[in-house]
Amino acid sequence: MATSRPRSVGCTLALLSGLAWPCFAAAQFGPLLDLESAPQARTQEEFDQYLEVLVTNNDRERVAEALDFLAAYPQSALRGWATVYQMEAYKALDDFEGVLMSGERALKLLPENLRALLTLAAAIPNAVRDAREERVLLDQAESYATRALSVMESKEIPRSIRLEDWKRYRAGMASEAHEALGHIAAKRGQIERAVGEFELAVELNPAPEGRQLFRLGAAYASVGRKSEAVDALRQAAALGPELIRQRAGQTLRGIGESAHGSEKQ
Amino acid sequence: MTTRIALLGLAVALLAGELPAQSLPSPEFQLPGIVGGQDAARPGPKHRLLELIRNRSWTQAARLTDGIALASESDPQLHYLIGVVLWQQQDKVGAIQRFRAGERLGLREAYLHNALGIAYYDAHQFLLFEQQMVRAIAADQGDPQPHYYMGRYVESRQGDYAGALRHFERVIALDPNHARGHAYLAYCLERLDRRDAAWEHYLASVELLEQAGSRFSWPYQGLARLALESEPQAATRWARRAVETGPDEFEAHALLARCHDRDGDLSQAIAAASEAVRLNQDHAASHYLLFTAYRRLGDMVQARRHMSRFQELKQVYGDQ
Repeated sequence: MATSRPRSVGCTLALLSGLAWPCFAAAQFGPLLDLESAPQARTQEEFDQYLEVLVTNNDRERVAEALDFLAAYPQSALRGWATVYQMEAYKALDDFEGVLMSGERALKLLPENLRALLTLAAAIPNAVRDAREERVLLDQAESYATRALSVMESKEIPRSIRLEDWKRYRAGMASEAHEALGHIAAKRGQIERAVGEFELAVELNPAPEGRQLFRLGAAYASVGRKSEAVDALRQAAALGPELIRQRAGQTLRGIGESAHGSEKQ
Repeated sequence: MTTRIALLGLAVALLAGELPAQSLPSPEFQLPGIVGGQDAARPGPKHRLLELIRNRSWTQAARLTDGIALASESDPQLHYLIGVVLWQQQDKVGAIQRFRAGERLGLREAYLHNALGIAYYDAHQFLLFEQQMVRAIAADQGDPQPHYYMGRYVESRQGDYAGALRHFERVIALDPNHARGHAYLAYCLERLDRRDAAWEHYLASVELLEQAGSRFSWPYQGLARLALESEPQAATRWARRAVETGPDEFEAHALLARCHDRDGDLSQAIAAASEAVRLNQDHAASHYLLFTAYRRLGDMVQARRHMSRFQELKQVYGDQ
């Protein structure tokens, strides 16, 4: 296969940013499922208000409910998890500042919380706008992703979680961590390393997502591995969602290919 | 070699000492006597709901509760009944909110506190669970259920068998025919190495269950464990009864496998342990038993497969 550098590596790398965030971390069991580490409410009123954070279907309301809860019960053992739910709501609202603020606060309270570690690792590279702060922020994101991988390896799982379920969750979360590491490497211009991390992300995920395949395809394109790029980008285009389909199509056109093999010639 | 010896030692300890720890049973929530809103010609939603719950018409009950908002309803009993329906629909958080709404509106009956306590337990809120059990006992001092739930909690979550024993003794004092109370009282006595007394209470439980035609394998399992060393044939018979009364309980099959293994009947041991593993593929003790049984039969492929699974389980779960 003839390899050729793409016309604009910078342009392709830019496409790696700003995509929808991964969602496997949501599979991590919350305090109502994780028996051994369940924090205890001291009063019924405290638990009532905590449940309000959980039950709302509206992300703005969830942010507000979490703030109310944290203000009313600043010493609550549940405040770490309330903050995690607040972070999830900010994530759904695409509010990067909110994610960073609440995610970091959650990690102060729950240093090994995989949901917070993975969400921050994925969010920070997207949030980098200022070249002066880029190095510090990417180092921080990398430390979150590697810490998540280390926690996954050492975490003792409660018997209530079936081994096969845990393996599936862990593979999904490891996939997210490697995707974040790939994104960080791409932001640093370390494209070969990014390729390796995206390959791991796709390999580990029992059902790779369009976004991950797109990132892998774009990274392949950036290092001139055209046929692998075309494969991954076509799979990404097939899986979607629409934004991925469009971006995969653009990237394929950028390297002289179409989204469907049959259209080529 | 050292690793292997350590592993084997661990597994032997696990096989010898392993006793299952069950969680609280799925509750059969008590249904209240209806107060207020009685109109024989036009029954209100509370009466209709109560009827649907009694008939276990859960889909219709859920449809009826859909239109009754949490904030606007002022009948505490209706909230309680809606909570029962939501629990049945696996909406545990919704159930807690409805039980709480009933409590806030002044419902102070033991059934409400029992239900809310169990719901808190399910949400792993053990402090709140204990508070509700205290209230349930205060609301009806003749009700054995809160003592039973407290006993199960103290035994299974705190591992305090002497403490749990006191709760189960109270259950039996309030209701001498409480078959499960006898079974768990016996279990605590067994853990405290009071084997003769444990035997008596397991037998009492079995007798009550058989009189009532109820199926509950726990006391049969207890009798099998107690007989395993001194009367292996009797142990096998009790373990078979445990499997008959709890065919879906992996613990019963695992125990039967141990009995067959003790009798030297490897093929039966393998069949029973395989069933235990089919019901719970994470049951480390059964994988270990299968490893030893297959190894003795010379089937090293199967032996290695089960040892590998056993090691994986130990690595992930530790000694839980």
